[in-house]
Amino acid sequence: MTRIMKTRRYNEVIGKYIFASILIMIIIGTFYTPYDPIAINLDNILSSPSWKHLLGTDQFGRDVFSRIMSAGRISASVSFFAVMIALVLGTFIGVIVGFWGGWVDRVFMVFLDALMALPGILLALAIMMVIGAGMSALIIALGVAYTPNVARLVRGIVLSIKQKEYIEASKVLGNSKVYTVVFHVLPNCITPLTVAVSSLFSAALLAESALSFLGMGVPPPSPTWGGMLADGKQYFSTAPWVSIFPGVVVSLTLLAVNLLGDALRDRFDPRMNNM
Amino acid sequence: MIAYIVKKMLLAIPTLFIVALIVFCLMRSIPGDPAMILAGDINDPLIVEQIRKSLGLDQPLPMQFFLWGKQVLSGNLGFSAMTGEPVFETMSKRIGVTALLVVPALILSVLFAVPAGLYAAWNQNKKGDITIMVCLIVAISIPSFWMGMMLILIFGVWLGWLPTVGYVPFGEDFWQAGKYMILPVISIMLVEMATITRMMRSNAIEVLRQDYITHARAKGVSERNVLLKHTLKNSFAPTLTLIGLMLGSLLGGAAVVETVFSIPGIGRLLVDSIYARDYAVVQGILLFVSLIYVITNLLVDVLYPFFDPRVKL
Amino acid sequence: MNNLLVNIKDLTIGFPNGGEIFNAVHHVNLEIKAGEVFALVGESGSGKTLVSKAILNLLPDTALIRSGSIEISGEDILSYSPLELRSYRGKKVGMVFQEPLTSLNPALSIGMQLSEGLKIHSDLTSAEVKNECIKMLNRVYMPNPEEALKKYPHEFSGGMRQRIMLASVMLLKPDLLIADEPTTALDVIVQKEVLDLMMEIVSEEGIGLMLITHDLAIVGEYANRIAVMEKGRIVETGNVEEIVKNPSHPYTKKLFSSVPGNARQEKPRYEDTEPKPPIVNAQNIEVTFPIKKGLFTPDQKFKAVKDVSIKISPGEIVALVGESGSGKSTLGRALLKLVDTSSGSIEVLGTDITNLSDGDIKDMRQNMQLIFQDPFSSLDPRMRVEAIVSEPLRHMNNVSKPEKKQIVKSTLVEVGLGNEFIDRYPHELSGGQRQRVCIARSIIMKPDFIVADEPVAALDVTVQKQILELFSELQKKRGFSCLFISHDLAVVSDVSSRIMVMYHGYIVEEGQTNKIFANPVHPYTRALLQAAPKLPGHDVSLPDLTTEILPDNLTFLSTENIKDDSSQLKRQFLYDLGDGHKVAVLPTER
Repeated sequence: MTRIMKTRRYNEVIGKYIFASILIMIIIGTFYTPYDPIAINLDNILSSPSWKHLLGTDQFGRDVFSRIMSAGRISASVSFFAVMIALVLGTFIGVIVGFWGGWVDRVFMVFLDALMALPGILLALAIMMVIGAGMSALIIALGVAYTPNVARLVRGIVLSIKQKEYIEASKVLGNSKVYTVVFHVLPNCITPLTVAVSSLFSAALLAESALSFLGMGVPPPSPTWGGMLADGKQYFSTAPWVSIFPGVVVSLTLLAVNLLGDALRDRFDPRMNNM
Repeated sequence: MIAYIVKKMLLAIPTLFIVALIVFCLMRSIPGDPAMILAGDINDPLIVEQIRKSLGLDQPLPMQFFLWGKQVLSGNLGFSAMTGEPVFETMSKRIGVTALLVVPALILSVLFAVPAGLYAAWNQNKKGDITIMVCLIVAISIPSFWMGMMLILIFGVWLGWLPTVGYVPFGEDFWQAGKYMILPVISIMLVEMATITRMMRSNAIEVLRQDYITHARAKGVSERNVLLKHTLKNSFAPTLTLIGLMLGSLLGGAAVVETVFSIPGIGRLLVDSIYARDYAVVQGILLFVSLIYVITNLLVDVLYPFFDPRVKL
Repeated sequence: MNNLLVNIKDLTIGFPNGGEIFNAVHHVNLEIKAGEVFALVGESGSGKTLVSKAILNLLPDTALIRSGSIEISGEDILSYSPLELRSYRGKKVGMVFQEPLTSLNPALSIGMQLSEGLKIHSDLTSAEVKNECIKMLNRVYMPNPEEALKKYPHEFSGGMRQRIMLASVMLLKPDLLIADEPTTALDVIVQKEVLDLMMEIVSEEGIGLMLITHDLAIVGEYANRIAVMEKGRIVETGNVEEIVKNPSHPYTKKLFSSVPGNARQEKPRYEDTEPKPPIVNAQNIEVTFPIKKGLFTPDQKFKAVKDVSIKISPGEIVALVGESGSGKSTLGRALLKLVDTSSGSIEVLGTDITNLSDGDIKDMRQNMQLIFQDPFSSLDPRMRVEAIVSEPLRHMNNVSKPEKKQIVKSTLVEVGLGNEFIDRYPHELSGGQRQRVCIARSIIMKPDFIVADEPVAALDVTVQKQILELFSELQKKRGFSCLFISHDLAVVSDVSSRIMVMYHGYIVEEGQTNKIFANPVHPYTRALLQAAPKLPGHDVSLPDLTTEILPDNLTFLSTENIKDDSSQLKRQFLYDLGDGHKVAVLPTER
């Protein structure tokens, strides 16, 4: 039992450390990078990792480490804002249809099923085709693409909260529906939503790097992790470091988010892992 | 039974209708005049007008949707701007390739996930479970395209065991074709496999906590049969729903993995068509993907009562 | 040397808890003989279930047996290998669980689950196994056993499932049957059927029965010997009759004095000295729910409350009694306009609320309150006690914040909670404390009418008694009227002055509490009273029913009439036997 707790604690601690280091790297990268992440240096193309360039240079002679540092800000903020959009829109829709139910709910569910039938990445691709490329377009596309998931989740949470007697108790006390939603339903959504946010964030980060990899992300020269991977693909067999290291960073970030998400889940739903 | 299937199929119709509406609206809201784009370099207003008329673009929007819907239902998805071929034909050439990627990935995932999830649940919080869980969370955290590149680097470039990128049709050289598919299938399935295993594990943990499991043990049922007879069916039912939902993300993932491995599948076609602004093809693929999704979930609904008899046929 | 079936010596079971070990069962000694019905009694968390699981060696993985031995028919089962354990479980000791909804596997057919044990423990052929199963199902009075084998658990009612459980356990002919709260989830009439059946089979087979329960009345009615557990220790053990007559340990005394229904005789009836206008006056109300069938089939209708009239005078407590699904909660909620009525009229405090809009009813809500059954789900888990109790006060605009806090504090004191509770969250409170908070929230605005929906059903018997006393005390002090909903006649007899008995949406009998208990008339009421288990010495034999009680042209509205509900039932009405004692009747066919 204690050993198990230890392993679980390890997972959480490891998650926290990785997350904190990446966050620090991103924050530093906003103000300072060892080399200019954008300026082209044709004298130094595709040089392998050395003391001068810790993670080597890419096909334009740019320092891979500096680019990873500065790309973090863009990748992370795209995911963050996309999650925020999905969270706000999805919660709003989910609470309304879940709490009011009836025909609103029936119509909404058909719409939702339809949207779920278009996979997140494909939907985001299609939306970007309409609104064009660029960072804000990417944020909107991802945000909208993940809204149905959040709405569906929130609707489920609200439906289960609605069954609870404290909601009826609120009605008995003479509270209006809006009051009940704001003061009793929403606060009780927060805990399960926190867990969802972590998996949503990792999905958004993954989708962002996938879209960048496909060349549909933030346009160059701004570096993104996914974009760097795509750049490196051509020089893959001769200069693997160009794509290995951004991938490692993406994977570590996702790992940290997933570990923390699991830790949250354990804490809020202790039945799942503890006995 | 038949009434149940028919009912489920009827319920899928409004979903498909809304999907069509969404796709139609998306395509119509793309900036620029589709007729102008189709006309390309020809800058003759007369010809543009003609194209517009032939596409029904001079009609009001609801009428356009109706006309378009009628065409789609008759199998006419328009023509590709890149090749001039009918979209339906372009797509049907690519579908098989993607199926060869996605279907084995799905089957292998389930074949691994079910026993692994059961095993982990049964050993909850013991060494075996913790090892599996750590591996799974790492697997979930690696993007499939990067995993693909690493696999190419290790098995293709460094070890030279398997071909790196490309595609050989199974009709031409079966063994060679199989070899080319190994790495793509692995890189696309890892995340799905890990997700399904985790789901299976948590369902099985929930089931193992039920009174009927204690009851079975109290009757003297062996642990093997507790798992195989009493736990498997109950914990697989909700997992089945997840598998249906996962198909969507698998098809989305195919776009990326096919790009990494230069496989001429439907995902690759979508990416290329978006680059080329070949809207008819994009539209066709979106419709096709959602149709597959709806059909799969229909299948899941039909299979579900077999695992959970409480759901009435 | 002995005919001891179970011999537990000095059993201590512990759970590791942050470096230390917490003992859930302390030095328990137990002996059960063959052919004996042995009751292990205790409140939730007393460790009684752990003891039963230890007998099957089915303790949770984290549990540690710290000392002691368990011998079954002279064999030490704690030293069994896994293989020996498997041939021991089921064969020597069988177990029936509390919750019939979860103790049968929903994904497997009844036949498979029944035959499974026999296939493990015997060499019978499939045909023989099937034969045995059918024989056993016949013995538990399962109609159509052949058909039943092909069905799945969800197709049976709770009582039937418990019979199936019993059949599946008894098929293996164990020497000892452990029944862990086997009827707690069942209605009282079904409970009697299942327990009677269990006793019948146990005595036919001559095996031992270990009955684990919190219900002392069941013990009194069925058991020979009893052991009382408190906080992991056995505090008293002996013959049932002796202990009921003469409990020696303080906890046992407390337990027995908490059994509801003991105070029945002294209950003064409600005196209707000067007729005042009723607080609640509902006439012929019906409540109908649509049953959703899907998008394409039209919704069916389910009538939960049928043609019910009810009057409650100021300061009166009226009890509404019925089994689960009888519509009693729906009726209570209809009186508060929490569900809409489809016909009839309801007047509360002189206002017709039937057609009030949501906005208008809101202003009346302070005056008509509801106390819920489940104190775990009726308090918002994210609010502190103060916020919960003061929530109704937000409608009072002319009261300052400190004044509000003062009102909250004094109300909490009134329900027996000190100031230290004010900052706690619901999960930091016990079940009884939570229910006190619920009561405080309901009475803080001094309502004239309260519906109490099974307010003590989820509580342990000693807590139950405290809450009931608190409730009666508050009612006397504040003088509100109350509709007290319960499935438990004993609980009702302690608090109410008038009783209404509900069955499948109909009121089948109503009258003064004393009258109903002394002279129940309707067959269903009589069945309910007869089925309720009683402590020895509290047996009240019902007077024979005199057939002349109804005039020639009337018959009782029987349970069969109600079950095959048809339009002819529109003709039923309540016939007054005098002094407000009414019974549901039908005019006889001519």
